[in-house]
Amino acid sequence: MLDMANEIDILKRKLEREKAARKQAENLLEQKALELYESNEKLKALNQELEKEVKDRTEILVRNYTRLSSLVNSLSGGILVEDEQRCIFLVNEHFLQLFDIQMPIATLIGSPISEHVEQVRHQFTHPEAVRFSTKKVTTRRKPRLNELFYLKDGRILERDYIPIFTTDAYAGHLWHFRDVTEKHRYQNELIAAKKDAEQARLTEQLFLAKMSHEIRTPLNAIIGMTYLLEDSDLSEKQTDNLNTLKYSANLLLQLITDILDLSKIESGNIVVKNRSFNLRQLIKKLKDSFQIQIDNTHTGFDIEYDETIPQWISGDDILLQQILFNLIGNAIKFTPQGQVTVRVKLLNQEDDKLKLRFQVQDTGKGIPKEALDSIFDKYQQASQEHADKGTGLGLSIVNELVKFLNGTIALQSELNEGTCVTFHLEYTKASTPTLQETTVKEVNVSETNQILVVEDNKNNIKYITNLLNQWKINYRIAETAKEAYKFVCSTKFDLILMDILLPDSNGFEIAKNIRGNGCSNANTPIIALTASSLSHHIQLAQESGMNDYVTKPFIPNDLKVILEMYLPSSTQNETCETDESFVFSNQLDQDRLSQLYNNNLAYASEMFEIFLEVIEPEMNNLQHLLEPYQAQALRKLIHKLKPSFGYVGLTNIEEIFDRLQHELDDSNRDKSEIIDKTQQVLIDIEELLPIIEQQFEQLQETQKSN
Amino acid sequence: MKGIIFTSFIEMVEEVFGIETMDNILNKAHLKSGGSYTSVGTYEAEEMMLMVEILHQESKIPIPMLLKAFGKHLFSVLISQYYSIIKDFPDGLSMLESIENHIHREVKKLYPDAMLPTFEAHRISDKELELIYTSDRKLADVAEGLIEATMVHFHNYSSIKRKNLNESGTQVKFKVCNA
Repeated sequence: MLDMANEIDILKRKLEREKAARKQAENLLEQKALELYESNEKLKALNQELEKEVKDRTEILVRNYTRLSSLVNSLSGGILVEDEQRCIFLVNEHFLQLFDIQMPIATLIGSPISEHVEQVRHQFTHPEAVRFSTKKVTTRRKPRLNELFYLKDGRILERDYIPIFTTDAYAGHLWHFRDVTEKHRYQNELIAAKKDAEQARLTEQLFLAKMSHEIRTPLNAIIGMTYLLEDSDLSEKQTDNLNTLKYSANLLLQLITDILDLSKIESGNIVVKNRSFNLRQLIKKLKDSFQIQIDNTHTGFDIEYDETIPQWISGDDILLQQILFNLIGNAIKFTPQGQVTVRVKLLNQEDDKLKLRFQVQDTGKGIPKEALDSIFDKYQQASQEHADKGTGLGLSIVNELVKFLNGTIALQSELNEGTCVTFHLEYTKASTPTLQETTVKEVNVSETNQILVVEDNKNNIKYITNLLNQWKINYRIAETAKEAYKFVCSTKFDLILMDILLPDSNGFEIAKNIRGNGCSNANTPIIALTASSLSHHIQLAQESGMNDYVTKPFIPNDLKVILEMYLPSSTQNETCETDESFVFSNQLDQDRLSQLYNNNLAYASEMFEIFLEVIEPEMNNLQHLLEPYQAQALRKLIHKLKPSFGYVGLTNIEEIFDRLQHELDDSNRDKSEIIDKTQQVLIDIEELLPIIEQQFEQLQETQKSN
Repeated sequence: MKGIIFTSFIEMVEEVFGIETMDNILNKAHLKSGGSYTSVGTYEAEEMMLMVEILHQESKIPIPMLLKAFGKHLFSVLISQYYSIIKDFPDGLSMLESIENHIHREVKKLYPDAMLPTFEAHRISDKELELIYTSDRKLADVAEGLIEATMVHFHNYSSIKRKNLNESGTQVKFKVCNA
């Protein structure tokens, strides 16, 4: 009984403890539930905040995207933006129209570009070329603008590739296509028009040159005849008629000379020569040439020369002479009685720069005020009275020439008082004359040299052979092209002097043939002997493979300078500085490079620089010849570029070019194969360029440190 | 100390020694909490030590033995309550190895105020693990019981070597070998 009571007590106590524990647990639960509720509320608020933020951001994103796509849509070109996975991110209506894509924009967005490429690519005339070019630009990831592509339907598209980078990471790229068919049509029309115009100008020049020459020859005969007639027995009436004839013939000659001069100036066919000359001497010679004319009038001729002008000055003496000749001629012509004065004054001198003022003043008829404004215009003369005495071209020639020499000119005149023309020109002081005839005797050319002179004019032959004899230089004379070819084939010459006009051919043709026929003289220097310094002659000379030119008539020193420049004995002193052994990159043809440059780093560096300058534009040119495919031009360019690669040690590229050139010669070759190969070699070159750039920098640095 | 330790202890005592012994202990102990414990509450650790001391006096069983036995019992309680935490471990050693960095971290999430001992684990080889127990409560005996029960749970037959790293018993090294 006691046990039972005890047990009940124990259980009671246990129950009490359990109750207390339950109470505790309930309190704890209540507390936790409250905490949970509060946390939940907090979480809810946070969630709402987050949702709002997400909504706001999405709105901004949508707004930006809408803005971007409406901007892209409003652009005139076809735009397509790809993301870094090459899926379409943006595309505009214009793009779809350009390539006749019928899918809605919404469907295209997000889809891989590869799904649509075929449909677009087959519209191009050369789908493979498009593929190559696309692969090239997308691997390089550098902007590439204005690439041209041709579509089968005749349209021409211009393409820009612009990679997109966010801070550092590549984030896709943008394609911009423009239809430039119309633009190209206009451009081609313009080019054709320009070509026509240039052709017309060339024809005009040729016509003028030819005409003046053709007319002058008989005219000279007429004038000569008038002098013969003068000596014969003539009646007074006949003498009068003869004077009229003489006067008219001279006027005609002057007119033709003026027209020729002016056309030369206007077409820019004047070459300014910079050389030392004695100004005082020049003025004196001019005076002498007018002496007979002056003696026949009652006009005095004075020269006021500033003695502080250095004896030798440097600049163009020929043009100055022509300016003064025209002005003095005018002054004498319009001053039957009175005084003509030529003044030359040194206005200022800064270091070697001299500013000179020239004045030609007369006390002649003068020019009426109303005519002064247009006095420098072509074919303008002050009055009918003046018109009897000239062509009206003299002053405008003077004006053009002074402007051409960067000088200024002004004219002052009072009717019946006289005229004064003032012009300013700049020259530099020359310490020693560049052309001194006294040095001629010391020509340093070896007696063993052999020169071929191709010339048909006896006087010229005499002149040249005299000089050559004096300098103890061996020579052969060829008076016709036929003879010239005979000599060239049998004898190796050190230099060829080539007249331009020969009875049976011309110098350009002969030079071309010598260069092209592979005989022992294919590399002999050829110097043109040209009577005309017209720049297009000089250009023709260069194009035909001639090395230099001498303008006839020349002084011995002119020829001597040329001989010393081109004859072997004078070039043997040319130093070939060799630098410390330089090791070329093993990615290039080392053997070839050291053979080529023999450690002359300056030369190597120059060759690398030239290569780097020309290669980029030439590669673009090559690319353009593939689209549309122009086999002839491609062959020519490949031939031209081929040796360049050898000079920088890219022998393998040179070999590829050689093979390409041969394949182009073979008309059976598949053109798409050639296009593919060319594209591939272009990519190869692109990859090799950094090596060349690096080599160039190394060459420069090594040079500097030496 | 978490309530679950107390409730588990009381449960064990009542099962093994009967409710009378338990009642007796509680009557003698004059505990601040009055001996009412709920597993989710938190109580003074001294109360536990006091109950163990009285149980020792009543039963004459040495305290370390009592504590080790309690450790084994505690394991069975814990594993039935928190099975999800340990179900993915392949064997006993890998579970013991991750007490500190995995299990205790989960416990802390549920009970941020829980004061847990540290179990620094060093894997010596595939079959050997070194565990260093550190706690001011000096309950390395409970820990030993827990370790043994763990290995048994995974059916790993093992040997456990124990070495006190200091005199007070706050730091003890266990070397657990899987046979």
